[in-house]
Amino acid sequence: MKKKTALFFLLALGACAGSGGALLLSGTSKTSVVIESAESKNAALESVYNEIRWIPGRDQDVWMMNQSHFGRNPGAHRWERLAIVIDKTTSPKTAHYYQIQPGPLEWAENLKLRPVPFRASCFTCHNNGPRAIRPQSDSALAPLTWREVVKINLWNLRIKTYGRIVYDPEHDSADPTAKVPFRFHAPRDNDLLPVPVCKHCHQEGGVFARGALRRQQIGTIQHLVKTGQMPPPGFWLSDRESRQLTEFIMGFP
Amino acid sequence: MLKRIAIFILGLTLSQAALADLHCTAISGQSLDLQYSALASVKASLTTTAGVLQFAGAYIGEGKYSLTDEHGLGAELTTVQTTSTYGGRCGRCAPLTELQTNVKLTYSAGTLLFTCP
Repeated sequence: MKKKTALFFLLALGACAGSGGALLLSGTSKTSVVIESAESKNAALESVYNEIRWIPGRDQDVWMMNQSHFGRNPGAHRWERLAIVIDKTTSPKTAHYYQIQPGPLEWAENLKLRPVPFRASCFTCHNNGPRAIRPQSDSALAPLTWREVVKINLWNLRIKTYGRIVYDPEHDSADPTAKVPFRFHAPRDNDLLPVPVCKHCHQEGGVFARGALRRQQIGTIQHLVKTGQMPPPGFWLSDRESRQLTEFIMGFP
Repeated sequence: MLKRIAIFILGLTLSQAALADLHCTAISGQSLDLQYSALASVKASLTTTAGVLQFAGAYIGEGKYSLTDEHGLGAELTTVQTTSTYGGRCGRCAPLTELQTNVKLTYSAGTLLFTCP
């Protein structure tokens, strides 16, 4: 009897390890995923579609994205091709953001030499490198298979476990001559979010550090709080913090 | 002499141009009517369910005005202009915030936040 029980547990363990491996493989496979973003909207507040691909490497990871503000099938030249390259050799890790000519989600080092101007200021949404992928779960035009759902969850786990990622200081050097800057530089744009519960993670140091949030990121902050995604489970805004957040979003010092 | 008259008229015109009227509302239902000249003085009329309260005061810097209400109690009014630039080219990641003035009034009964479209 004991032998049978041991065998059962061994088989169960093997099945778990096997499915875990399969999931991991599924998560790192080289195919992309197309989602309808639950967050991004175009100027007319219509859906934005993102095709995303993760290209992992030993020293650097590349997250590539083709983004459409013109519906699900806008034509090849209307997808905007973007990339976030994470240098894993530095501590904290460093992210460089690229907007590149339309094309496939294939990374080549020489793409770094041919960036095109940003269409939006990356830092207003990307405070800490790539962000969790949040698809519209009931999308009619970009429905997800269960494999893709698993893959996105694994990718999100990877994104979460990077820890603190700072932006490449080269962006600050390039900003004075950029038509659309990587980030806004005025002191008011960089006022720090003062809400204590947010600062558990949105700070510069510590195990769970995700970088301090700034006033130029209020659009994203507002969206995530309004949709209940922030604060995360186990945390909540007190009445005082809620008021503090409202004042910050409204622009008060 | 003509020069002085011209300067006087110009000064008068500019000072009038700097005067602004705002009608602001709070989510909690109160309304605030402001007549202010930027960087100088302000008159405010707060309407709540309890009635109307008048304030007057002067600019003290950094978008703040020091006020006194009709009963002689101190208050403070802060104005900020929101920016629409954070939304990026076309509201990527979040819808655009409209350009507007927001007002915070701290007075004897507490603090109220207003938007002034």
